[in-house]
Amino acid sequence: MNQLRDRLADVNPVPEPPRYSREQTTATVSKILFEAAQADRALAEHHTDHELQSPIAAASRPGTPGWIRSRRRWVLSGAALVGAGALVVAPGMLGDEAAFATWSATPKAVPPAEATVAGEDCRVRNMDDPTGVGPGRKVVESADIVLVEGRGIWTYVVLGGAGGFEATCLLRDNGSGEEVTGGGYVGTLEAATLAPHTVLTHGTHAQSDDHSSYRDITGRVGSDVASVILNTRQQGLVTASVHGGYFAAWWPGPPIVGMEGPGPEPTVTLILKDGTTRADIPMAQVNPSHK
Amino acid sequence: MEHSGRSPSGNSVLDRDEQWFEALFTRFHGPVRAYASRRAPDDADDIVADVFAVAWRKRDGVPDNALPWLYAVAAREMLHTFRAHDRRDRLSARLQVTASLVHPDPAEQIVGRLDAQAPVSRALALLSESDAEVLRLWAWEHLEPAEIALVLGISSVASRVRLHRARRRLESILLTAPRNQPHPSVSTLESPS
Repeated sequence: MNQLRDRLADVNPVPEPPRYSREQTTATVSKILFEAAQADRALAEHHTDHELQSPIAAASRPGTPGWIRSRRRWVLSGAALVGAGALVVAPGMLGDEAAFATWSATPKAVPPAEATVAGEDCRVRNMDDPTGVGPGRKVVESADIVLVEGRGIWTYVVLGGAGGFEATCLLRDNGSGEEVTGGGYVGTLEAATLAPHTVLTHGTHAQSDDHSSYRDITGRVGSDVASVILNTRQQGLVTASVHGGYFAAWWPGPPIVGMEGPGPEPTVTLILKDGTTRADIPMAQVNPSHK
Repeated sequence: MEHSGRSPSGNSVLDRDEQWFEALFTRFHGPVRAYASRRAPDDADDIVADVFAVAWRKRDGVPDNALPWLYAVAAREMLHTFRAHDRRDRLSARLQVTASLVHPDPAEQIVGRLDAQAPVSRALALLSESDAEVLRLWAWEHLEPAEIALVLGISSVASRVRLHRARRRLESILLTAPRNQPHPSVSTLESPS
């Protein structure tokens, strides 16, 4: 019997399973999840239009813990922003090493109702701007919730508004708990000049305490871009969320110690809607500040 | 990311998140791609993407022993693929291309893609498609009868019986077929160039 099985195996036209490279794997998984999320979102939006008309204020939700800790950074884009910045925050703010244990390299879709809650949370938190660098309440009030993504217990929000305004919030406990930190940009990423097959970004920013750090990146995507994947030193390949003309991702890392700085920028791999891949684009090519 | 010590298909349904899916894909895309390449090489990558898209959509129903389930989905996807194309055109186009010996054709066109001189290939080609597929799942996908049953959607007993009969028929052909005589249908596989 085994002899017959062996003889049949000898005429197997593809004896060794041809496996995808790590990048192909990430690209295919991302594409499947992206398309599934798109389908889910379309379905959910169809069913919950009425809910979206009346965003739920974060403060009104029962059992919502207070805004315990936050750090907000404001950055003027353009000449004032060069390369990746690092901000060292208060010791223990990001939590211990286990704080990011649930983080995932691939984002998960956040249900529309939860996304609205998290987005409104983020908006409220951006209203208060003691630095005076921010864009002002009117811009924040009228900003759109352009992207909300989940990674483990963490929810990351991007607001986008007039004058190139972007603000981000990293929220713990699926958005129902504290904000760890957030930031924003006042300036212009000229989305109008963005070619369909590429992205524009301010680059990454890093924040660290004594125990851990995280880096985040936001930007605009061209109309032909389906997926954005970042090749990071800290976590390898990280799949960004893409929605509403924006992309965003964040990833944890070890604490940034002393003068070592945040480390090299990730490279960017784009998967276009026609299935083609633009692999490992240096950050300098997609960040106008580098030019 | 590494997912060490975590069986992608062994998690509870509640844990079936993106990480589970990525681990499932990483672990099984190779065998699924090989399965598809052996039967529909031109469409193998599309079939892999379709199979895992189904796995993600139906993640709550993916069994712990995921691979036979994935093969079963692949079989259905191939059926759709073949229906979507003009099957007759595919056959006639492939019969004219000797490169098809390097890249395997769909299951029922096994004659066209196997070495015309190989007795096992010729014998396999003489079997019914149903018998041949049972043997391929057994010898190429290394499945046992219970797993073959999952792929074909039949009972374990039926699978065992079908495998037994298919082996007998193959052995019988191998014993009786004259050596070095190509199967008549293989003689049409000359390259047009």
